Amino acid sequence: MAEIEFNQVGFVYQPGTPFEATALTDINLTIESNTYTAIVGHTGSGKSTLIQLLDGLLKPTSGSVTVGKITVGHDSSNQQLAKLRQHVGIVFQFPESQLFEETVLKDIAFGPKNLGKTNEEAEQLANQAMRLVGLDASLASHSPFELSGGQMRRVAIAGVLAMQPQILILDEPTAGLDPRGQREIMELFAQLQQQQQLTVILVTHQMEDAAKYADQVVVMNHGAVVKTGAPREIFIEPKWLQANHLMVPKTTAFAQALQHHGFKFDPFPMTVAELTAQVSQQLESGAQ
Amino acid sequence: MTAIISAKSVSYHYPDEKGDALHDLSFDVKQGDWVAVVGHNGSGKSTLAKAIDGLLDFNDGEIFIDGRLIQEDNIWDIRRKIGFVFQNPDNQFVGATVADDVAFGLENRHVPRTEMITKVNEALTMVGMSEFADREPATLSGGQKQRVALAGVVAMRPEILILDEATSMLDPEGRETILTLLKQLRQQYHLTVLAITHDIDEAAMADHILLIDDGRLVDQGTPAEILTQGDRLLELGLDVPFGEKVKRALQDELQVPKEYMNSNRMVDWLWQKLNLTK
Amino acid sequence: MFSKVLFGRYVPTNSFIHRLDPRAKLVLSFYFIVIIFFANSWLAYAFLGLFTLVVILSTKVKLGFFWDGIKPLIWIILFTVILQMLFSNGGHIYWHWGIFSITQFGLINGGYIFCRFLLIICMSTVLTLTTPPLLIADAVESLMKPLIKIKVPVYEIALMLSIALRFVPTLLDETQKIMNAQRARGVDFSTGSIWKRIKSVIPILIPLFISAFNRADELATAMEARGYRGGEGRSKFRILQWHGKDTAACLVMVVVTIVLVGVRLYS
Repeated sequence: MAEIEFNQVGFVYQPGTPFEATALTDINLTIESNTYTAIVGHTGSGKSTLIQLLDGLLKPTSGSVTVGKITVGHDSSNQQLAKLRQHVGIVFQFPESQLFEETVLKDIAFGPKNLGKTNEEAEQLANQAMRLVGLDASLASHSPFELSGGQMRRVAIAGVLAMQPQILILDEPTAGLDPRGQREIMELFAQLQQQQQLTVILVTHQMEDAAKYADQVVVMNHGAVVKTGAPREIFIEPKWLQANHLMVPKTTAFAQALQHHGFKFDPFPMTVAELTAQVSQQLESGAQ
Repeated sequence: MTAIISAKSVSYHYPDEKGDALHDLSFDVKQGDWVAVVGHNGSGKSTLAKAIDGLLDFNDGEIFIDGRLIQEDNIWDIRRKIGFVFQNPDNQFVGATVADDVAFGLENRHVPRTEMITKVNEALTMVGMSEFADREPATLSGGQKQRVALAGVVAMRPEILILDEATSMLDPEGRETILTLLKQLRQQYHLTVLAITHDIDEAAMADHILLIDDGRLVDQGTPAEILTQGDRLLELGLDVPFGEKVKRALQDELQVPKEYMNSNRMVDWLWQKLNLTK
Repeated sequence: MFSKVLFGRYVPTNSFIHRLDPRAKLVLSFYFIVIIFFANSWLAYAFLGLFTLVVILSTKVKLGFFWDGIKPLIWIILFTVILQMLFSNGGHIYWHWGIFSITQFGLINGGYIFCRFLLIICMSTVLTLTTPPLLIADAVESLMKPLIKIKVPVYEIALMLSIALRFVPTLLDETQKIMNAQRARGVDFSTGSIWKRIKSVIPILIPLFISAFNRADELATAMEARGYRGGEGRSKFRILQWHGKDTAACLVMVVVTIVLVGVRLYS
C-alpha cells in the first residue's frame, strides 16, 4: 500500500518578494508502507523542505501531499496539517537541541501529552520509548542536560518514538556522533523499522548508510527528484553520482576498482560482506 | 628533529565532574608532522587541544611549545605561534563579513591597516574565498565558513595548526575541500598540524597517531602501527579503515598480509592474488 | 504577517542611496525626523511627502514592494490617530459621546499625526533598506568616538553590537529549527487560550537560551585563541570614508530645511 504520495508538489519560500526562492519543483514520489527509504542529495538540494512538507510543517505552494488518508494542498487548514503530524515523527538533525524539560521522562512524555494522552499514559509511553532506544530506566529522573551527547540524542529520539508515529523521518540522525554512536543509532533504527513495522525515511550524506539500510533511494538535485530506485541501481554509476554532487560509497568504489582488475560482480555488492563473499569465491574458483 | 609540542604528565579535571578529563598525558610532536589525536566522543581530545593553546588551566604537568613552558606571562606570545580551528563553523565566526573575520586576529595584534588589507586578501586567495570577501556568514555554507576560519589562521602565519574536529559538522563535499586545502596549506607554510578527530580515514592521512581513551594516552605510533589493530579500534568506539575492513572480512578464507593495507594496496593485492590463481 | 514588514531589512539594490556614507544616512535620517515636527501645514506635509517619495524611488526598490512592507504598520498608526482624534478638542464639534468627541481640530491633528508617522516610518525604512546593519553599527561607533574621553568603552560596545548583529540570522535560524522540532512534537503555537500560547513558548525559549549560552561560550574561547584581549589598542580593518556625495546629500537636506522654513513663514 502506498503510504506517502507527492503529486506534482512545488514549494516557493516567500513568494512575491525580492527574497523569493524556489525550493522544490514538480515532485512526484511514492513511498510504500513499511519500507526504508533514503533521500540523498547535496546541501541545498531540497531535502529538508521535502521532509517539512511530509510532516505538515510547510504547506505545498502547488500540488498535493498525501499521507495515509490525509491529503494536504496549498489551501489546507492548520487542523489538517496537525492531523498529518500525528502520523509522522521527525528526528531532526542534532535533535538534542529540542530538549527542555526538567527530567528525561518528562521530556519524552511531552509529545504524547500534546497529542492528548493523560499524564499516566504519556509516562507509560515514555518508559516504553526509553527501553526501545536503550536508555537505562534509572536515567528517567535525571535532567537531560546532565547526560552525555550520545545519551541526549537517545532521549530526543525516544521523545519522537513515544508519539508512536507510523512514519519516522530521520534527518542526518548520526551527525556529530563518534563511529560507535553512529553504528548503534543506525542499527537501532533498522531494528525498529522491522519490529514496529515503521515506514522509515532517512535523509543522509552517508552513502554507505543509504546503501546498507535502504530499500529505495531517492536522489535530489536542484529541488527536483532526479532518480529513484534500489540502492544497487543508484550506486552503480560513480560518474553519475559525482555529477549530482554525491559521494561514491566506499564499497562501490572498491568493487569498481576490482572490476578494472578482472574481478566480476553479479549482483553488484552494496556491503563489505557481499563484496568479500564474491571476491573469495572468485579466488577459490580460479584456483581450482 | 626537535619537538615543537611537548606534554609532560598533563592532568586535568573539570571542577564539577568526577574523574580526570586528562590523566597523566605525556607525548612529543615533531616539528612539521601531521599528528592525529584520535578517540571517541568525550575521551578528552578537545580538552587536550585547549590545554595546548593555554585555553584552560590544567592541574598538573607541563606543556612546552617550541621549548618554552606555557605560563601565564607568556601565554599571549605562545598563542601567536598557534592557529586554532574549532568544530562549529558558526561559533568562531566573529566578524560581520568574511574579510572582517579574517582581519579579527590581525586587529588583535595591532597590525597596521595597509598591511592588514594585503594579508587579508592574500589569505582569502589562499583558501579560494576572495570573491566572498564582503559576504555575511549567514549566506555561507559550513565548509565555506571553515575555509574563512582557515584564512584567519593563515593570515597570522602560525607555526602550529590545531584542528578540533574542524570537519565533523560539514557535509562530505565540505569535508573533502577542507582536507585538500589543509594538505596544501601545510606544505606552503611548513605547518605542524595537530588534528583532533574520530574520523579514521582522516587519521590515516597523518604521520603519527595519538590514541586517547578516557583522558589517557593508550597508544601512539604511525598509521600502519595503529590502524592494523582492528578489534582494539572498535573497542575504543572507533572505526576500521575501509581497506582493513575488507582485509578482516577475508581473513577467515584467505591468508592475508599482516601489514597495514589502505584501499589501493588491498585492490592491488587482490589483483595479484587473482592473477596467481589463473 | 511579520515576514512582510520591511523595516529593519536590508535590500541590496546598490542605488545612489546605498552608496552614501552610513554616518551621513544615520544623521540625516534623524535630522529629517526632527524637522518633520516643524511642518504645520498641508503644504509643508505635501512638500516633505514629495521629497520622501523621491528618496524612496531613488533606492531602486520597487514601489509596490515598499508599500507592501509599510502596510502592516499603517494599522498601528491608524489606531494611534483615531485615539488622538477622539480625545482632542477645539473648533467645530461634529460628534460627541461621553468623553469622546470628534472635532475640527481633532481631525486636523489626526491628519497631521498620520502624515508624521508615515513619513517617519518611510524614512527609517529607507535607512535600514539601504544600509546593512553592520554599517549602521560602524556609523554608531564612529559617531560615539568622542565619548572615549569620558571613559565610555566605545570599542567594546561597537564589537558587542557587531557580534550581536552578526548572530541575529544565526539565532533566527535556530529559533525556526527549534519551533519546527516542537511543532513536530505536537505543540500548537497558533490556537488556544493566551495562557496556553504563553506556555507553548517555554519549549522554544529554554533550548534557545541553552544554545545561545553555548555559542557565547565557544565564541569567547575562539576569540581568546585568536588573541583578543580587549578593545584597547586594536588596529581597525574597517574604516568609513566621507565622499563628495555625502556632503551633497547634506546640502540637499539644507535646501529641504530652507524650503520648509519658507513654507512656514509665508503660508
